[in-house]
Amino acid sequence: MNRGKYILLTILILLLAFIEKVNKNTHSPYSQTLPLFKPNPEIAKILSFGASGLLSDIIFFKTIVFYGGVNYRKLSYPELSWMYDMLKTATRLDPYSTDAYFFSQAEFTWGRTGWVPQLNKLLLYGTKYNKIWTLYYFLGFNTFYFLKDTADAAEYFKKAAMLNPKSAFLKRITAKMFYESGREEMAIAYLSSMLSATRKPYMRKEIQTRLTALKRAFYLKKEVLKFRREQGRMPGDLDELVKMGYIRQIPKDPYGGKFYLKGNKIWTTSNFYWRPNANHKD
Amino acid sequence: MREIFKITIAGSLRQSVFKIILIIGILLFLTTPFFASFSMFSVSGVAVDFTLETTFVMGFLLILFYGGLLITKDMERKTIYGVLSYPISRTDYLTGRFLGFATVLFFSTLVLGIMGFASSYIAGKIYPPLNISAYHYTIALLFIFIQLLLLFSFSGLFSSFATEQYLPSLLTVAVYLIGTASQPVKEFVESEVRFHRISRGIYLLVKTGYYVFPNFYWIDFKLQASHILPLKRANIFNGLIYGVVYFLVVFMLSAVIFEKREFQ
Repeated sequence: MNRGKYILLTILILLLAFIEKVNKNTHSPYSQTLPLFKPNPEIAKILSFGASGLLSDIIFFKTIVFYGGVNYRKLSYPELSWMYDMLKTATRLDPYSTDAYFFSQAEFTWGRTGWVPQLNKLLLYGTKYNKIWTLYYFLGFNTFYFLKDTADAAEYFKKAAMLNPKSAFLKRITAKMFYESGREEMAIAYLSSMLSATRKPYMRKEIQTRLTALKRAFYLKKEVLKFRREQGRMPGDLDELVKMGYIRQIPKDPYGGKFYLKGNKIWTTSNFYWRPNANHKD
Repeated sequence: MREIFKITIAGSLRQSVFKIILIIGILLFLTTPFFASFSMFSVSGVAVDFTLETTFVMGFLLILFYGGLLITKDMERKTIYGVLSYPISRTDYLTGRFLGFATVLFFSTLVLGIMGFASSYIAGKIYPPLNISAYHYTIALLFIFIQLLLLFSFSGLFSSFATEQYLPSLLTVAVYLIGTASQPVKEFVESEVRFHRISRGIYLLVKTGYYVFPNFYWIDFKLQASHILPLKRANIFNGLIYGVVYFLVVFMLSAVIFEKREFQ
């Protein structure tokens, strides 16, 4: 009997060692590759069997687990399409899912401006059910900043301000929009508000990095305009700002790219995305 | 009837059903904050979704693997002959079994509901904002109990004529699946029939199923509880009437069939 116990114990230890070995050498494909499952909102609604709220949460969690596994690189079109379908399904199952709307807003904007009309459709669907000012605010921002449609954006901002009449911030941002002054300033204000509403560390990091990049780009733009005002011409490049003493050095792009001047706008070689070998701590 | 009720409760105690409910309650209490922490902006909402759904699933499993088998087990073990040899009507036997197991379901819903609410509250406190309403949660729990009673009444109905032990549970699962899918299926078919993409026959079949089977969407307030949506009194009242009347009809039908059944 005792011998049997020892044999069992030995087998268990060997099994644990084997699992540990396999675990170390396995890079889980689960979060790295695109899952085969592609949701259909209508079918998901039927197959939720009364648990639509929980299924919506699970679909959302599955999306962020996938995103968390690949967010160090630029996502491909099928990956983005899958994420969009997942988030759309989550909102069809639970039209009040703030998680899905906020995450979509954070992910289908910068660098993915082709997705903004789709994103706006998703947000518009949300406004049918949720009487919260943030959805209209997102719609207004996207329409103004990415789609450059001031008339429609004004309508969305007006609705956001009506739902949140106490917000001085909304009034300020709406005023800025109407004067069309400083898109960068508006983006900085928008990202700051997103940052204060986000708790997840990797989302905060993503927003914080974008905010830093935009603040630096905006700083450079202000100095370029100052140069033009004082010198009566545009600088040849950003190095000229350093040579002429306007700035001490060109700030680093936190995405690992390099800021440059094109026309009267500041651009970056990273296009506000992580470069493959960029130092994330920068 | 009172004796059968007592026997059912005593049987549940013997089978450690109450202990299992308490263990599940503790597990629910411990796991909810972790599960809900995946949410970015609505932790308490996700916690409410999770706890209410677990409360329902636990009750449903109790029906499938315990309550729904009470009568068929009595028949298979032939103990029903002994019971019915006493001066007790078959309807009394059925009512006693129903009330006994309904008490177990009530206890399960209450315990898991209290544990679930407490853990959702803690999750919301850890990850603000805390958006949770005791009133909404209680209404959702009440309707979970009504849903479970309704499912149990169907299990009783199938037990009243079934010859196989697990057949009532299987048929109850089928009723649940149809009852929860009938609303979205009807909406889908209605939109398809408008564009002539689906035949009129299928549309009529779906519509018949929609009216014959219980519609769980009308007696489901989980989504309202997780997002604290306005609860209309008329909806609560209609849901209560619908659930209770449906339950009584199915129960009475079971009693009629059970009275006429011939035991071999």
